[in-house]
Amino acid sequence: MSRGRLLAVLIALVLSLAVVPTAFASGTDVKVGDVEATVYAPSVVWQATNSHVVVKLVNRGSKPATVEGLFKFPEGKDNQFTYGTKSPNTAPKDGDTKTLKDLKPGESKYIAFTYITPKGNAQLGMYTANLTLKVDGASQTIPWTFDIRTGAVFIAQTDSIVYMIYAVSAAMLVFWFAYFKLFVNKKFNILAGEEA
Amino acid sequence: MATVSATGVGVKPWSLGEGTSFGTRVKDLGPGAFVAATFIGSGDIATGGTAGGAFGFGYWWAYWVTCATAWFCLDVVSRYYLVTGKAGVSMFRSIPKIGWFLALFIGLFGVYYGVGNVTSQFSASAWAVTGVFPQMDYVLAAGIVAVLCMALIWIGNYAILDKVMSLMLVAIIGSFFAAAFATGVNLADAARGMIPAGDPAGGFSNNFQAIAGTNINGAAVLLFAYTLMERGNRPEDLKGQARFLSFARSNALLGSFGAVLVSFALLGVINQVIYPYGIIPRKPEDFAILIEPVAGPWAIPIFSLGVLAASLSSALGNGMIGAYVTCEYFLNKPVKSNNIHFKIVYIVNAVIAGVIVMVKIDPIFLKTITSMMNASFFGVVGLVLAYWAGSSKLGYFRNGSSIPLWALTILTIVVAGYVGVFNLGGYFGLKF
Repeated sequence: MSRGRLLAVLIALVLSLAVVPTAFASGTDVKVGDVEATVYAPSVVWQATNSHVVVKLVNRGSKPATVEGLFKFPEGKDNQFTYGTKSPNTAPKDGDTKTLKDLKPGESKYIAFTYITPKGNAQLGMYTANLTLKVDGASQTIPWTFDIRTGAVFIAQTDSIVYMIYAVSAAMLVFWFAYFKLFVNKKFNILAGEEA
Repeated sequence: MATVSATGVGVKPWSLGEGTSFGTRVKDLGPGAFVAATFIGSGDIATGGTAGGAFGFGYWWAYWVTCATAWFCLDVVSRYYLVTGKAGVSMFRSIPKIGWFLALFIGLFGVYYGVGNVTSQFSASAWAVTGVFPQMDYVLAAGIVAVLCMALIWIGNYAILDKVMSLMLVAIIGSFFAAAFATGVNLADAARGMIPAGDPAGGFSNNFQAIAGTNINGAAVLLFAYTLMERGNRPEDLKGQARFLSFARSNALLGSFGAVLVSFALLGVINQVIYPYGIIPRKPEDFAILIEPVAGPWAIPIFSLGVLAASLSSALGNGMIGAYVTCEYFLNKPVKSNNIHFKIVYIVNAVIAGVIVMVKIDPIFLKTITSMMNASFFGVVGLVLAYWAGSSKLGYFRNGSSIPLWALTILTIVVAGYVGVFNLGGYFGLKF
């Protein structure tokens, strides 16, 4: 690549960063009372893989607002999920509530429902969960439709995998020792060094 | 027996001032692209997720430090190759008294890279394929990836492999930068990340180990000598060797700092999309589903394409170093990729790796182990390379009185000592 072309590529990279930083940004926008909300949630979730629902809230009114978010798992299918990182992490049948108090006029804050995880044996297919946002007397329910796909099946402890990989590597070293010593380089000596 | 080039005797190190122009250097970055594509694997994505999810751009300085160390290691490997005409295992076997033991260590890790590391990369590749083609079965995807890699190796044409790896490096950088453009990058945060700062979550040791483990992949360091050797144009005269070194150093720059470039895009995405919510993405799939809400539905296939290119190129590169090292260890001489034993070693190792992948182990454990193994490996590789950097046996290409080279030697000893003690000590029950 010539120097001129390389320089052009570098300039294009830098300009791209400055000019199109949020060109593809998207989310589901709703307005509840005076509060604008943008809901970010994935459309594809793998078995045994965490997913998160993040809600950006902006108060467009003239007085402080309290926002209450209720996340409900797909009806009758809450037993297909775990929720949160603390044990027990059973998904609550009635959902989970997050409250944001005193969102000042013009202020922007987030609430998030994190570590929503389909179990390793969760049924595959489309699911719909619901997020309800309440601001003072107003209320909006936003459906979250997502596709659960096949994920990891064997979730072992790190130690057991380490030992398995070590055992396989050691066994393969022995295998290659036999292969080379018997068929390729009979003079191979494991204790031999080399003079630099 | 390794022989030191007689042409450098009596000439003051680095006194010739020979080099090649910038234009000449950037025309041929094949070996550097090969190494960069091997360096950047699924572990970078997992590590970036952990470090970035915990501290945004806060650990970016660690990428620069570890990549500077990686550059120096590639430089020493080039110098050793220029002087002796030899590659990886020879550097260990020719250390006085303990050479046989170090060679055995490298032999074991060669097999590990051929099987264990390739398992991890096959697994990540298979997940990525199912991200791009959602209807495809995971086991089928893993099988296709494994067969593709084995077929490329069986062809035995290094020029083709070189082009494939360069193409995948472009795909890796393009894909991750596309994700970064979509989510936006906070340049001020990136600039602040260049200055070391305390991690409020107190995760420095673990994160630094992981970053070092992915950025200073000891296997990829050794791979560099073999990629130079595959080209087969090592000059015999000192001036020619000095010019060749400037070419090798430019390639080393791409090989090592390619990871910094990719980390900029990855940490940029994490800093914007994930870090504000305190979520720690651990797997490529986590990334894809976290980015999608902000970047749009196209994010999963685009990001998966990057993961696929990173994993596939690492499966090829790490598997190749496994085969190079295993063959050199048992044959007492390096071989090229068209050697039948090289092909057999790669393919048999890949078959074993493929079988392990079919068990569907959670990829995060595989990646954690890969980073840990890389760091353990580097604890030994870094110290051996530091030994050679200062050794008079490198003649004209020894460190001599070069202050920058000695500074990098000390940095390498510190980093290798730290990650080596941390990781190898863990096997003996030491906790840090």
